[in-house]
Amino acid sequence: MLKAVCPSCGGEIIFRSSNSVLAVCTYCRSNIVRHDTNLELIGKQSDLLPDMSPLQIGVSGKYEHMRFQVVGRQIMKWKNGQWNEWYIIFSDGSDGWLAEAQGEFSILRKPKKQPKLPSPSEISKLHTIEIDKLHFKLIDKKKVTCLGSEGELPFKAVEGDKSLTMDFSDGNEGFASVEVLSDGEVLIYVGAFTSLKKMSVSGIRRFEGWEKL
Amino acid sequence: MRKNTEFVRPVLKSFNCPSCGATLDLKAVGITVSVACPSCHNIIDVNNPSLAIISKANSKYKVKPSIPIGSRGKLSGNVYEVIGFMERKEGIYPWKEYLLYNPYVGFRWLFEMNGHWSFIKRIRTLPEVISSTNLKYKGRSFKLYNEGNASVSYVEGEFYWRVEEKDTSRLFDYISPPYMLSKERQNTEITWTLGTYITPERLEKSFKLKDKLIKPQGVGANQPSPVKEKFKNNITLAALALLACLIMQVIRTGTANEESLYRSDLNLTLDPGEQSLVAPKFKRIQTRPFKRSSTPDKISLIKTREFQINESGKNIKLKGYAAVRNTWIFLDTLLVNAETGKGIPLPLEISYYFGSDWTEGSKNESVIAYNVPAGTYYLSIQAQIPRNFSIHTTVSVELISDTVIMSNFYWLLIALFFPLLFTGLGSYSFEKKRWVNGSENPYGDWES
Repeated sequence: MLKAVCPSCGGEIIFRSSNSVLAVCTYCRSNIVRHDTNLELIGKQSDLLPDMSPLQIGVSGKYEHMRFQVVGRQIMKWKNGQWNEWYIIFSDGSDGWLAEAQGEFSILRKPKKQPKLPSPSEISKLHTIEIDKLHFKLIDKKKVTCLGSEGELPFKAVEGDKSLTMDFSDGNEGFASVEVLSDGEVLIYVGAFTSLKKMSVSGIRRFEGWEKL
Repeated sequence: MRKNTEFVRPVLKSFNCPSCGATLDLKAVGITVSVACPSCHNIIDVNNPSLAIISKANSKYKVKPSIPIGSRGKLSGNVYEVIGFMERKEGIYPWKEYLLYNPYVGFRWLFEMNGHWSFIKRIRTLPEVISSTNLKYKGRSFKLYNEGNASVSYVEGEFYWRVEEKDTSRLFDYISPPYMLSKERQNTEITWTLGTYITPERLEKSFKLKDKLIKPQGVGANQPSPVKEKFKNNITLAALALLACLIMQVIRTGTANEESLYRSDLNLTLDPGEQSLVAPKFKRIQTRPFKRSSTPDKISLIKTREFQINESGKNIKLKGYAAVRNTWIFLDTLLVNAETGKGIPLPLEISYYFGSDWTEGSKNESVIAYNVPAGTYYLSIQAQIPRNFSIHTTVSVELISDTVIMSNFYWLLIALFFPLLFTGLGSYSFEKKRWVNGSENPYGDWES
């Protein structure tokens, strides 16, 4: 864990994961990028619009018998809606994402073995992908824009960033995602659909009138 | 779950309808994409910061949801709030869909058609395709019930997708009551859902509805058949009963003594070597009419040797064989207790007729007396034989104690069959009604 001071407002900034590159200041919404020794300020984000997500930074849960903690989020928007990508770090130091879309939750992690990918110009034509010996079929492909972010993130995801997201399913609860960032970087994740109950989450937001889970 | 977590007010997003100015409150803030204004019924894109109107509603057409928007009810252990309602149609056949929301569990639906309801959830595990009309999901077989195009005809409330009136999609419904698997294809997107039949009574109770829901009409696509259950139960019961009877019959066959007490080939006119006498003044009353009536002109009375019945309560079977050809013989037999003189009747008629292409009767007959007390017995046989009876016709009789009776077993089979027949017919007619509204009706054409 790295604790630092926001170069803009002097508030405390925490990088819990060594994989984190960006932290958004809780107090002034400044984007702070971590380099080897120094911090770089790359502008400010507007406030995130409140939503009804039961998740928030600090929520913990478990996936495949390992505890994780939510440390950051980016809100993604496409032409027919928006969803949350919560950045999570596991107790063994590895990281992943808890995607929350249309009331459904899925957990995604880096593959054990990096799958072979077509060339960057061909990648958007992918229809099937094999990750860790599992076969996945394309179910959805969309252009997305980052609506904003908070907490810490493993890349410089800030308001307005554009990318291409491709979702894959193994015909079961298995789920995989290929994200092509605007700078051409390709991120691959694999995981499964889950639920708050299955993850036995704690520290979630509690809404009046929804006392019973 | 931590108990000490502070409760916060649910996030509400309020705005004015860009068309009529009415105030709208969103519930699933951050997820809802489109909302239909409750006053002007135009559909607004809330994903768009400028709140564009997606589609103008046909203001004259209104459909009232049976469960109002804002109602909350507990289903399958979770509380849900109705946040959206739409009517969809396939041709002229409408149904209603209710979008249910719980911030922790996500979305579910209620489906209503002809008063029949289903509770629906999206599934991520795809069913296994067996054939063009058959699927397998979690070990259950589903059959294609209906295939058609659905279009949206009325919208109210909020939805997490872009709803447009006149939206059309291809629907495939597969049933395995009480379940229904549905595949919906809109453009390239395919969604699978699993519905479970739910009674209106349960919904009335769960949502505390003031107005009663309408009575279900006909048979719902995935309505569980009460008759089918009974039919299945009856099959199981009948199978068990059959098995039990088979076992009993086998045990009976294995343990039956089947002791031959007396056996003889009878000479009906002459003294067969046993005590026999001709009774010229014999007078008898015919106990049952003969198939071919002809006056008997020979009567022979035979009294057999004595024999012992050692065990009380057993059955006694008299078997008779006569090589009759187009004639009959009647053995009016009494099983007489030598000590008390009491006789148990064992009347035996053997008749066998035949033509070039028919036969009637049998050369072998038997008759059974039940629950015979132990003792010393003899048979007293009065044989009546018609005029045309050949002297050379062989007549054999045998008396057997503790015999296995198969007829009981056969009667039981028939008795077991009747409940199966009734419930089977009931089940058939229920299933026939179920398929009336489906495009894949295996019972024939659509009925009006």
